Amino acid sequence: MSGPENRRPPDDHELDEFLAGGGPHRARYRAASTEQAPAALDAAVLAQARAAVTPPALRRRAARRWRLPLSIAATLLLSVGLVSRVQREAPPPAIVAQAKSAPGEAAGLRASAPDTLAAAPAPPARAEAPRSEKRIVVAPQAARPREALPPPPPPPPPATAEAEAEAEAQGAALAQARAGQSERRRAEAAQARAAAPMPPAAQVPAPPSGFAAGHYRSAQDFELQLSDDGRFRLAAPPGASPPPVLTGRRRREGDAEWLLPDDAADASCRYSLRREGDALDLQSSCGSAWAGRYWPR
Amino acid sequence: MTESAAADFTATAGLADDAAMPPPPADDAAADALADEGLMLRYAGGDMAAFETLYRRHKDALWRYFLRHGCDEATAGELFQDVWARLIGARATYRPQARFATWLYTLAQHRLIDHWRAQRPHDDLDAHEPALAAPEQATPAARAGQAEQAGRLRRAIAALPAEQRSAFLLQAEGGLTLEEIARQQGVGRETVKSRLRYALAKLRQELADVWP
Repeated sequence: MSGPENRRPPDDHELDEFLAGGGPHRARYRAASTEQAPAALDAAVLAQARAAVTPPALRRRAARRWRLPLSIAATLLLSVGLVSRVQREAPPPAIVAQAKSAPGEAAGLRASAPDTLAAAPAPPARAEAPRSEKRIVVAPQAARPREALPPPPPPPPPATAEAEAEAEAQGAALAQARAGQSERRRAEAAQARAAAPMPPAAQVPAPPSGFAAGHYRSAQDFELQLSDDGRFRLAAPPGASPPPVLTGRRRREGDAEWLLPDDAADASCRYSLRREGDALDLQSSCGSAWAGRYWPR
Repeated sequence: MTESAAADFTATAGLADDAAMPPPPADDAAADALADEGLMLRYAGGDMAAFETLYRRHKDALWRYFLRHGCDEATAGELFQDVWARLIGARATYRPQARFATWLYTLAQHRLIDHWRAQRPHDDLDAHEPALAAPEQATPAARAGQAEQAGRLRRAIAALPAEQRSAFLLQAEGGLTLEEIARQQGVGRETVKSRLRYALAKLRQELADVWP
């Protein structure tokens, strides 16, 4: 603040330089003005700005991104569930027993069919492969008490047009009886669940299939019990990874048997039994640990 | 200043036609080339990158604007965030009828006045200079060399009468024209020129020993 120049009055020249972006004052001010907004403030302001515009856009984008995959997944899930349910619940028009052996044997097989068989779900399509062309079509007898069963029909003749016509007639009769089958199936399922522990063999009246009732054991010490009342029970040794017990119904199908679990969670998994010499070969459609070979105990 | 006042600011100084409806930027470089007004419009449409460019252009100057008015860092930070929050909140109603910088510093000036009135409601605004002149970096090290000169300049600016200081900072930091400053201060263009002339003269006198 010394010297005459510094005390000179304000002038337009100095102002014009300043307004034009030049002059000593602006240069000195620029040199002295190095402060910058703190990074924390930057982050806060940018976050606020982003929050003001981003969320709706993100929501829309996310919705668009997931709409198609979710639709496909839902459709697939419903389709698989529907197909699985149809396969499980479609009642067989008749129980087809293989008649490649003697007619008398076939008749015996029919006579020994349990009540539950007629109302049981249809076997999977792949189970039909081994069927013989000679078939015995049996009308459902589920609603009748066992004592009221009619005497077994005569052994079926070789497949003829007459036999086929008779089969069609019986199929029509069966169609009339289908209406009540759903109710019976539900009752059966509840009954089967309640009967999860194996009843004593002495209480069962007749074996349902060609596999003898009894106890079998696998190399992994899994136990398979087949009972004469058309039920099975699989039990794992303590500490084994599958569920300790699996119970359900047996169903005869040609040379094989199907094991139908009671538990709805396992219902999608199919188990089949085949005889291999003295042993029974248990196979599953889901890679279950129960699968394997079981020998008589 | 209220939100609606911020949104309703409708000065009409010097806008290029293309600033009102800019072409969409293809990338950050294109965004950098846009005028402030175009960036603000793009941000109003949801373009966060446009806001980041806009913010980067003005944040430090606005920060210094509050510091030069004598605010400590805590107060400056509060006012700084308030101004940007009002700007963000008014994005939907933003119309580029004035330069973006004019709008931004109008928000800042009004927020500053609100702050002063809240602090000392019965004072004249010009009575702030002595309290605002206190330097923050008055450490021994800061007194040496260029840092000392910068500190003296900041103190000299803080010692200016509020209207002169505001006119000086609006021009030096915000780049506002005489007309824009006059509109914001509610005075005539010649009054602003006079305030700036006196402000420059006082700074020259205060710093004559180091900046002859």
